[in-house]
Amino acid sequence: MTIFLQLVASGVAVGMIYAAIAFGYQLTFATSKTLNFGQGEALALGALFGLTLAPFTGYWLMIPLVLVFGFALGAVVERLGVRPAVKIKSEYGWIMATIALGIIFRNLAENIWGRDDLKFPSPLPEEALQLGGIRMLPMELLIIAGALLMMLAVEIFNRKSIWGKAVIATSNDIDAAGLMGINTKRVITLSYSISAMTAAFAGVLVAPVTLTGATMGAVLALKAFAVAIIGGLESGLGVIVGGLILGIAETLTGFYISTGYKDVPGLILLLVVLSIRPVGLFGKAVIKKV
Amino acid sequence: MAHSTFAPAAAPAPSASAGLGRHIGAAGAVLLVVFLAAFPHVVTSSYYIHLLLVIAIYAILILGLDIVVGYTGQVSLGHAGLFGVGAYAAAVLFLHFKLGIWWGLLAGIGVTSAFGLLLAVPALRVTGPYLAMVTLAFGTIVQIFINELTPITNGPLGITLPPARVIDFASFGISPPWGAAGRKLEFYYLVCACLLLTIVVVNRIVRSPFGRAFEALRDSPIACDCMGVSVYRYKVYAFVVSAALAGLAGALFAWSERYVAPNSYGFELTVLFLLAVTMGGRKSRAGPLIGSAIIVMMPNILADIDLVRIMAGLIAAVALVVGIQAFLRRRENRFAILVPVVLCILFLPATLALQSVTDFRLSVFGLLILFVVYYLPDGIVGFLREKIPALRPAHTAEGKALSADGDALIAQRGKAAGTEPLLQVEQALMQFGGLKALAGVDLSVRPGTIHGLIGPNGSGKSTMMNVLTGIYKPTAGAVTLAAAGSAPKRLDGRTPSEIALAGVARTFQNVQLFREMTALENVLVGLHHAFHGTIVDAILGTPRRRREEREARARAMAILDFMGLSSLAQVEARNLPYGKQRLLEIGRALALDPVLLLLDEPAAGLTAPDIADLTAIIRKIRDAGITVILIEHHMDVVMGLCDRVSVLDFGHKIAEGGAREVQADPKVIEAYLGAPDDMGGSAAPEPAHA
Amino acid sequence: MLEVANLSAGYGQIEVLHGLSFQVPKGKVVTLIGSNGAGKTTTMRALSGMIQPRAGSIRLAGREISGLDSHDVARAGLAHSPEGRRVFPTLSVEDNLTLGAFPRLTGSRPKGDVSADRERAYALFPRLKERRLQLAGTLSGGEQQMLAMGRALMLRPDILLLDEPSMGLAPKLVEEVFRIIRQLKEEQVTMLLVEQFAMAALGVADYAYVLENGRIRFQGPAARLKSDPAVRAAYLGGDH
Repeated sequence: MTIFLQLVASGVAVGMIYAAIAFGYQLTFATSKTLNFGQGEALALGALFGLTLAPFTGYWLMIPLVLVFGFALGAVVERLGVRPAVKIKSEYGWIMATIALGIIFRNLAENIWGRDDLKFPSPLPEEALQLGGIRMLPMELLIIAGALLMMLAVEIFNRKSIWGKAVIATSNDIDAAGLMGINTKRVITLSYSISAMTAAFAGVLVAPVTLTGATMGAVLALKAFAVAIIGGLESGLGVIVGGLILGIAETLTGFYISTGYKDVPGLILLLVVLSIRPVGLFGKAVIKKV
Repeated sequence: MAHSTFAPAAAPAPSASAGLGRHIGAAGAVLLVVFLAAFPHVVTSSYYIHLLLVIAIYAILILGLDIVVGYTGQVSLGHAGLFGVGAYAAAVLFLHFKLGIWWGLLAGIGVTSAFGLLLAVPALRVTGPYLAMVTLAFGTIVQIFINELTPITNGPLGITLPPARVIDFASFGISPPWGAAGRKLEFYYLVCACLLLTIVVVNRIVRSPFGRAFEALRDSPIACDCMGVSVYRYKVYAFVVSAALAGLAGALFAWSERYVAPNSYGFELTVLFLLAVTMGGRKSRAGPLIGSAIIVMMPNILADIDLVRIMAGLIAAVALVVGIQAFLRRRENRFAILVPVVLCILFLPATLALQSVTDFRLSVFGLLILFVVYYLPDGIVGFLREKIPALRPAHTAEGKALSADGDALIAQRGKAAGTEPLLQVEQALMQFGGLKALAGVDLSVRPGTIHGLIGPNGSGKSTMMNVLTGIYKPTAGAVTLAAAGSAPKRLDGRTPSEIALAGVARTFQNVQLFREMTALENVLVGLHHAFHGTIVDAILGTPRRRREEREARARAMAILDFMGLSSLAQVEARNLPYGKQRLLEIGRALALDPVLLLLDEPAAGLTAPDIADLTAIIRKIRDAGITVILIEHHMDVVMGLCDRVSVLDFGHKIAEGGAREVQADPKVIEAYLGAPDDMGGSAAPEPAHA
Repeated sequence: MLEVANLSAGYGQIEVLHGLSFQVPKGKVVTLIGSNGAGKTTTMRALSGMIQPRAGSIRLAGREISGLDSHDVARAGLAHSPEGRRVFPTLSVEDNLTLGAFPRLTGSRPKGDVSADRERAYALFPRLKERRLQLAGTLSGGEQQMLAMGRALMLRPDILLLDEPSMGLAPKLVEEVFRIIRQLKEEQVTMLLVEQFAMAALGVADYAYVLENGRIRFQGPAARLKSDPAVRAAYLGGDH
């Protein structure tokens, strides 16, 4: 039983990372019905950028700089990969263009930081804490707190600030938002920026407990998509539930079956949910119009 | 396949340049055969022969990928996974059972077909980015399982294979008729044969009703279902055929490399395949060959830094010239031009600064994808077809029958008289959440009449149309079709496809043609029900298949003739003038041989002369014995055509009768204009709003 | 206030409007009436930049606004309460109103006192005040219509476009909506009103244009058209 609880606790930390990335998918999908297939690369670049900065600034001061970096990266992806394709109404276009940008980013990262995985120094002590019989790394607690804080901060921004409200209005009804005088193109760029910012932040959160490298984000981003689907791509904090489900499923699989298979439940879940209930477990069915 | 504005008024016979296109196809095929046959005798370097082998093998997969991407318009990021499955199927058979290449090919095709079936399941439910993610997940799972199922796959170590023995002379008890050098070429020729066979098979499938169904479901899934072509079934066909070819390519690849390892079939390969199909050109046979050659040769070119520098110089020069021209010509969008031009020019100093660009191989591929997506969306073949009309495909290639054998080929149902209603709707209720779009409507349509359905915005007309054709399942109520000479049939609860085949055809408020298909092909999709051949018939080109195609084409031409569109038969639907698109949509519906035709605002957006044509044709259709239900806002059209009119408001039927009668009905006037003085008019029905 | 000359617009290959010309004088209410598919909503969408006109000019207070994106049209002072209401369902009533003043809050229009204007909107639509913290998506159809109108007024527009304010509403609510339009008219709000219910629209407007198949069929003072049988013919066919 303790083992089980232990696995659940570790799963929660992993799950929060997925939730944070999935949250980023939701942001852009809500405003523009598009998403960044290179989200994993935004995560990896955020971590690698942080790794380079950390010796100069320390872990904590590095975080705001990484956020700025992620914010800018998201804007670049939107301007180069998404906006031109949306303009020519090509779904295939933005899918391929964001994949292409992802590949380019990954390749550049490999050339800058090398192909080998790097060790990210942990800002917190690496001895586990005892919490009622369960051992947790301080870093795992930081991941949980950090991811939740990030999502909370974005939610507060959306609910309280005028630009945040503009983001929600654009998600609700892009034409009506335009009629309110909201420049919806800028809102979409903003949502991409925030989305990449959360991914980059997730990168520096997760880096100390995994290895850091150009390819670290690929599978994370794919599984986070599964989480976004389970939670509903349209909106809502269903991603937290989805993240928890997947994170726990993964640590359990890793322990009881084999670590080699730990990615499988997320992927299978993605296949199954999309085959059976494409709108997600929390989404609403849409009526198609002719 | 821009047949574009080209010769819109050409005679129905295949035009000269279309014929030329056909010959160019044949000439290309002959050239390919000669090239493949002669290559190993001219270039004896085994390195280049191997390179050509890889190109050919990739081309087989990409030809299959084109069916999914080009024809059905779906994104698949799972084809590298399928390729891996094929390769491992062949390799594992050898590892455990010592079975040779022929068994490997069979297993590769068989196993991946099954996987294709599996992949088709989510593809039935989702499209676009969702499908991209699903197929990506599939590819990743395949890789994980190959890595982990060590007892079967030998895990990360991979499997090594001996040289392939293509023809086992020993088992025939004879010694090989050619020497060691010749024996090495056996495998080469096997791959060439597979490639040529693939080209023939793909060619035949895409020109058959199967290929037309693939394209139709890409351009408008809803119209496809309403033509009796099951979107589900044909998506499955497309994925299975595509997967089978990926499996064939995989098995050949395993025996060509003689080594399989889990990491060779990852994300990058799948993206390369997509780049190849887009860059070469969708919906063509030449495109995948060109695309395959590019992705295979590119790393070799990049390895030669001097060559790269020369090319970068050329690209920079071209970009500079094109950029300056565009900059001077178009004033409004300078930023959009500037970015790619600057990138292209910066490429040159970048290559000069670097000692080797091999490490930046993936960045180059990424830039190529961006370039293709934005500047060459139709690929190289599409670009050439745009520029050189002679290269455009001859749509009529098969069963050239293009002449109509007169009106007799239109279903003549005679005067469908009788007092029994053809269509009976009883208490149709359609509820969306709290909103009753139809609040229990009765409708009875007599055979041989034109029955109008009118009402203000949001009154429930379109909902009724969607209920009748099965796009919506009514919350309650019954819809019964009683065609003369057959037993009454309940329609509610059936799929659009079943309803269409039961004899109810429709058009759409916003035209839902198969845009990238010609007028003739659009009608042929409507005639899908007339084809009974299987996919094997299509692949083999059996006499039955050829006869069906010939007959269907004659019928289709007769229908186009009837609609006054025969001279536009070879024009792509998207290039037709709007009025003709409306008519073509009706023609396509007629191809279903309907007893009942539902027209949803056919006059919307038409000019006055077009409306005159339209009304004449609707009358002709009624006179041919087909009953018509007409939803229309143009009151003059409704009043001029309809034998009987039903008026809906707020989901209720508020009036019914002859056109003049309804026009003068105070309730109708109020529904349209509002009560004259007293706003809280008592006659207004209770709104169906929650 | 608004001068439209030779406006043509449409969707894709289809041209819906074939050269419309009309004016809305300052402080007046003008209505466009006509049957379904006549081009009323298309006109509204072209005016507010939701679709780009193909030809013609649209001048707002003397400034050319045709060709601008919808957010720039709003910033120029044109508020459009669209067909189907289009409130933001997952935002509260209050936030919906606030967003109506978006250009004022982000510096592209004079700010003024936004919260005072919100109170004015609540005074105009007391039912909205009761539900100020409720999500707009949970409002009834009539309340959503009032919210859409209140939201548009938050711009402090030079002209207010009302597209089918009565659509889908029960007769009592239609009456309520028209009462408010009348009240706005008394407050000298310049309005362009598109309405299916011609009689009600003619009852409130100063001047009317009757649209048929994307052209102005005839025009005149609203009071006169009200008794003109040609209006009925424009809706239900027949002789003009």
